[in-house]
Amino acid sequence: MERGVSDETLLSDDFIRQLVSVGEVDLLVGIPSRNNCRTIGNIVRAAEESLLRNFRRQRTVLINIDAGSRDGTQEAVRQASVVGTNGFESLRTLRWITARTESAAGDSAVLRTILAAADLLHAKASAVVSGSTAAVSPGWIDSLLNPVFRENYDFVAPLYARHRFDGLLTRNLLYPFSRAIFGKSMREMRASEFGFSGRLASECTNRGEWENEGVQSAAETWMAITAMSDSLTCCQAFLGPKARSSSVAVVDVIREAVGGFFWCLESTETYWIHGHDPEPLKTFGPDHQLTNEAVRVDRKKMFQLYRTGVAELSDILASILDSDTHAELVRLAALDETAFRLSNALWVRAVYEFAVAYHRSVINRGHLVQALVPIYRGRVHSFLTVHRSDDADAMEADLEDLCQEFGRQRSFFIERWSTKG
Amino acid sequence: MKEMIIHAFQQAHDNLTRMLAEFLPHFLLMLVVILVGWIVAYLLKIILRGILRVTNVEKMSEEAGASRLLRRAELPTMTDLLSRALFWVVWLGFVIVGVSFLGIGSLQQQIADLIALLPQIFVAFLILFVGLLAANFFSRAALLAGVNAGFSSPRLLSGTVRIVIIFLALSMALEQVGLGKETMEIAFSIMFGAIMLGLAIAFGLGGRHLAARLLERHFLREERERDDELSPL
Repeated sequence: MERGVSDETLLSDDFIRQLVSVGEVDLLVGIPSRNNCRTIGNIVRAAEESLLRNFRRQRTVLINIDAGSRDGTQEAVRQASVVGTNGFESLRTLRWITARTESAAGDSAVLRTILAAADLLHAKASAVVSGSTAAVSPGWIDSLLNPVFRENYDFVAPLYARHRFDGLLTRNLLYPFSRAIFGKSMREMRASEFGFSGRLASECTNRGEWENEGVQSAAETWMAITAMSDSLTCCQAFLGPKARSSSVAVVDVIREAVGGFFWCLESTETYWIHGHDPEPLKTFGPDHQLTNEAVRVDRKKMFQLYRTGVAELSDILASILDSDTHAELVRLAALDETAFRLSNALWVRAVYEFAVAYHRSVINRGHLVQALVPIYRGRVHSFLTVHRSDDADAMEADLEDLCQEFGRQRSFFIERWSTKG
Repeated sequence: MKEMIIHAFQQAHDNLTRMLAEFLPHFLLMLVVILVGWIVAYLLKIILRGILRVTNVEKMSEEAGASRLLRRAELPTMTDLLSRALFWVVWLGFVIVGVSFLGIGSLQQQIADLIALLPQIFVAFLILFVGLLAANFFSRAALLAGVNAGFSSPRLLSGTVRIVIIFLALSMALEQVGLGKETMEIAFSIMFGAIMLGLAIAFGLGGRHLAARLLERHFLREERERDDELSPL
């Protein structure tokens, strides 16, 4: 069932009034926020500077959708706006729209509102920049808008300069898995910044999948996969250094990111089940950049959590994994920490079997994805041990090996996925 | 004398013949009803099994954890269980109707009592089954949460959750059929009270600092502690 912008519950009357007063635009920048008073000022200034300096002839609009902030985020947005207060000269007026949603509204509802606005205003190119991202520069906005506006791409995924041990779920699961399945080398599928075309905004807005759990928990991933599986044109753009996030809850992240990704696999099955030739993505700027500052990591605790997890969740893992895979994980858990290595082959097999078990719903899907956490911790432990003193090139070579392994086991995965359990 | 004896035998024979003449048609009718009932119940079982297979009940049951529970209890699959249950309910109904044709007063009363109790027994079993499903679901959720948070005794937590829910379901089921109502109420109150008291003491004395931190984190919306300094995404 299609539920586009005509859905009366989606956009408030005031928001529609603001959209109508703006009319059609060429470019749109959406900034979702929730208690981001510390970072949002910089983002607002960067976005305005980018639009006023580099898109002077275009009709532009900035939209801030705030999900019930209580720390003065919206006030910070107003104070940070430079429109009309400094020397930037634009030939067209830069318009501002602010709206507020319920604090209970999830990230997907906020993204949906931005997409609906882009669709309604017929924006040719749009960018989303999370209000929580620190160190955003005007160049980020240029990099996200230009490929869509000037080169007709439909989706721009970001690339960041990151610490070599950050983004390990992306590096070990989301990127190689999606590359093996969709044939496109999109490194950051679940990103807080991205660019998109009016065509993609319209396609996503009019889909009736927004109420599904997978979209609710991983709307950005769903959007990226929609672009890939609808054969729209995708590219990547290097933005710059991404500040390390201030809080991490591994279980929540895995539940949302991996659960959402598995759900997306299921919903796009008809696209990938028959296979697609690998297709390199056009990349604007370097395709990776790793930094190497010191970080505190408790590898011993990580191994302990793996060992306890595999032992305590034995019954659950036995219902998800093949007996060989399960036995191998149990055998590894009995090893000494120094001898423990969770190899690429075993990791890929386990991940594929989790995806198949999710597809077959062998247990409650939320529980199933949580059972992956101890194995992920074991994998991270091995990754950190193996790459303790590796440089960026060695890590890239290993990532390529992992991608190849996902590719090698792809037929096994598809065969298992297609077999009725 | 001889005539009297012959007359008595004659009378007994007549009575037996009359009773058999009265009973046999009822008995045959009962057999026919039971046989027809078996055929109807069997057909309904086949139809229901087909419907359940088409509507993917097995998948839903697997997802809800019911299939796992049935396998553990060495019971048949959900589809089989439901279709067999329908077979027995329908056939039992026909058997009861058939037996009533015999016209035995005391037996009819017993049957009437059994029929009156059937809905309550059915509801009690339903409560018990849903309770077992809920116990399975929540104990697994507690186990996963405990393991992933690094608790030292996740199985204890999970087992406690399971026992409390099963006990609650059992007491509700027994209350439904009117068995040991007061005993169950008292036992449940004691157990629930003991757990709450234990938690109150644990939080009040042993874990007051932890409780304070948890409450602060929840109400003041402070950032959660990190597992480590690595961002998974």
